[in-house]
Amino acid sequence: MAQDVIVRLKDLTKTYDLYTGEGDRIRALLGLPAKGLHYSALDGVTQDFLRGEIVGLAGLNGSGKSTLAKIIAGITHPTSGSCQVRGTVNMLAANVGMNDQLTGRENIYYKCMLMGLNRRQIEAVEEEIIDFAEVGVYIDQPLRTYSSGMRSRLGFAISVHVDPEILIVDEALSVGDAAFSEKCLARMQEFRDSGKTIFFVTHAPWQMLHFCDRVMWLHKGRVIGFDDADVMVPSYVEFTREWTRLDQAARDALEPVYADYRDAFQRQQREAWAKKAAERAAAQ
Amino acid sequence: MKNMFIVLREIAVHMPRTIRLALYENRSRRSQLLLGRVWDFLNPLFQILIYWFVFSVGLKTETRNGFPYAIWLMCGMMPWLAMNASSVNAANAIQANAHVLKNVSIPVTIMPVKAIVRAYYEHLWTMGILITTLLCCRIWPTWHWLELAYYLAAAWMFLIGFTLISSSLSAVYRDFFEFLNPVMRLLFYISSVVWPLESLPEDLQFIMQLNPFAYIVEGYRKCLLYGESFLANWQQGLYFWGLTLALLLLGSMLHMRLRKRFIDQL
Repeated sequence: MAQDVIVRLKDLTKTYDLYTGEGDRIRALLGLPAKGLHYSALDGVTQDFLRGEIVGLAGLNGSGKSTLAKIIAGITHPTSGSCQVRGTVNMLAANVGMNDQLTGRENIYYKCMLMGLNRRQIEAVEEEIIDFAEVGVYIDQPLRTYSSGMRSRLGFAISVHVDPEILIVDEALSVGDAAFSEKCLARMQEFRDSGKTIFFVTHAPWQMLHFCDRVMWLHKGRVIGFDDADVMVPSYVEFTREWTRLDQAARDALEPVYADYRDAFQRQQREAWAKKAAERAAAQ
Repeated sequence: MKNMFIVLREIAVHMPRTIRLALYENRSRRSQLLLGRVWDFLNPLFQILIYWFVFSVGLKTETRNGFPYAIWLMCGMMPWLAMNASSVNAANAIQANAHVLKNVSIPVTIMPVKAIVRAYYEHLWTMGILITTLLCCRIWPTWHWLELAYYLAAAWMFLIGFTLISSSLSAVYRDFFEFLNPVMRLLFYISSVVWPLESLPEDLQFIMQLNPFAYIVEGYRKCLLYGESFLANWQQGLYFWGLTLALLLLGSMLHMRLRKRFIDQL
């Protein structure tokens, strides 16, 4: 892999199997033939991402953004194709790994351990997390006494103080009030300035425009385009405006058009790959 | 074979993290209880009292192999309780931690192993009571007590193999977990916890000898009470380790095969 490539996706495909019943689910797990539908969440995505870039993932619900994010995070595994990741990954998840019976401070330790930090590393960021979370005297109270806002603020504060090389933000920034949101964005800005790679999934185009270097537009598991944010975001916004106006029949009628886009994009990707491979072969 | 090394290596590499997480979870359980750690003693105490009442008072069992029944029972009950809690909680571990597994990139094997660690952390405390009780009854330590380390290691390896299978299967096939409960209850009665091998009809004794749980339970008694080395019983030891190896091989194969898929189905 070239030095500056941090994530490489090659023909990445993820299929979810929807079975008609429990029996079929078990049969499939055991490798026996089973009745059921296959839902293609990602379909042949091939792309390199560079170290230090902020990548936006845009697309409607069900376009495969979250699946892609989870595959890069190493949480789920591709059905076929490969995803090579060079470096540690952390996916922001404010409400995961919080234990109601432990105090706020104990939760800092618990959640950080879950995310793979050791005691010394946790001690180093403990105070910073407490400051960031703004929970005041509640820090030594059990989490069950927290309001839901305090809870997510603490969870979020812990999440953003784990120091990975690749950060994945899957619609996780809508925590707390406006001031806290602002602080979260500032923290993302810090990550960006320190040269981290960030994958940013959001439905707020302005955030993407403001924040991302390049944006990948996914539609039904395929890439429609991948380009600079100021090129991609306006056309995506226009698309969503159009899309909301259309009824289901019109949407279905539009499918072939998007299929053309996707095919064109994939063709272009493949050609680029073939060219690169040929260059590499020539160089050797 | 390769799978087994991958899985065992993963478990070993993440052991410090697993232990710390387990300790925090035990702490979280305690913080809900007014009596806190006292329950780690009270739970086994109640169990022992119940069986002591049934067998000693009800069925008039007074001594076993020359030891008071209550002492004999305690030595078998402590390892059984730890193994039982490990088996049941570890089988449920993947589903119980589904929320974490679906959102944090963390090795799946941490979850069942964490359940074993939690059970054995409590076991440490109950062993404290057991040893104090033995000393109070003037049963003095011998070199054989050190062999507890061997039985501890044996129990752990067996439990890792066993729970790799049960946790993976329970994650995809919930019925398996429901099935495990009656199986554990049955195993209890053929693990020589409440009655010894000799009290079964002779042609049924092999069941107890084939039960790996019984090997550990009897092992504790051999160390603490009878003063018998594990080497003296090498045939059963060989069988136990053979079974453990088979479970580890099968368990890691099953786990590696299923884990790529069960995350999506939890």
